[in-house]
Amino acid sequence: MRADVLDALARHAATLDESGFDPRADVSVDAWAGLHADLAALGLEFSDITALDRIDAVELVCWLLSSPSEQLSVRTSCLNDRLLAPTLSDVYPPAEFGEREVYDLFGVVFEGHPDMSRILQPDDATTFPLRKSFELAETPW
Amino acid sequence: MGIVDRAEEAGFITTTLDKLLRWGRSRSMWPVNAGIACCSLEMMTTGAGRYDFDRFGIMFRSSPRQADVLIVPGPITKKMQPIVQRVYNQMAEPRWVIAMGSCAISGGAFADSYNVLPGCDTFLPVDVYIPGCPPRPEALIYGCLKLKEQIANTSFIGSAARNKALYVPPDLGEEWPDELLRQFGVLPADDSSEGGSRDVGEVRDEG
Repeated sequence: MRADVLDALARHAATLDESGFDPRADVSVDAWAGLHADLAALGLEFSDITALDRIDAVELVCWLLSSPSEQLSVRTSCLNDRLLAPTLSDVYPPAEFGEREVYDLFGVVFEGHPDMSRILQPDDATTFPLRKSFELAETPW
Repeated sequence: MGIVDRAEEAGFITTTLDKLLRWGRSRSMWPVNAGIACCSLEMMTTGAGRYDFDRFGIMFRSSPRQADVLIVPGPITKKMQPIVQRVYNQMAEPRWVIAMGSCAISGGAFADSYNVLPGCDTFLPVDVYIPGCPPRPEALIYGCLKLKEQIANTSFIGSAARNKALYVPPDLGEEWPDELLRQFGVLPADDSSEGGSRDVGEVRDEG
């Protein structure tokens, strides 16, 4: 792990875990945008943004690439009663579609996103199908 | 003695209008050039040189206005459904639908998914089902020949009412004005001025 990246993680009170296959950093949702702005300034490249349903919260996972071949996953947690996170699309423009996908499938709303609409499901869809609470039997065929 | 020999010998043939219609329609089934998913690769193969759809009079048309067969070669997602429905609505009658492959028949591997319809017969009147994942070109040809057989053996004259019941989908929506729908018997022909009460669904901006 690069020293400047470690500095940025420490500045935003992120906990680093390097025991897994790829290093992961957990950060609070308030520091989410600031940390990514710093990491982008250090030259880290955006790879993907996705999410995991942790029953009581939705965990956002942002994959970053650092040359030549280091991968870092930055994670944050949005509690179920406040599924709201600042957008990364102003830091990483390609995150726009990824965040729309996370919204479409998990229901996390990104503040400051230019177009927070459905991307995979029809515009009139009302469900978030990748949530654990989603039951297929309720789908009106 | 074939029909051509007879026509050459006598200079004319006698037949019924119904038979003439069936003869013509069954030998010029023109499908829409609509590839939806991976089965369309087999469909294209069937249209190309080795299998050669053209020898059956089956020629792909790029416009649904010129076509009378809709081959559905893949799973229909909920987002795709209004588009396929629209293509079908734009085809001139009489028209036929072939469900090609497991996904078009029942949703296939995606049947229990949140975004795929369990078969295109949930909103289209399907005439021929061709199983397979994907069906081989021979299977598609066999299915088309079965459809040709069906067209050649179905009387069209006097069956307008039956065709209407079969072929007009319930939600033509914004495509047709009310007076046309009344004329064709889709809407009841009462003269009470209740205009505007019919639910046409959400009109979507397609710009």
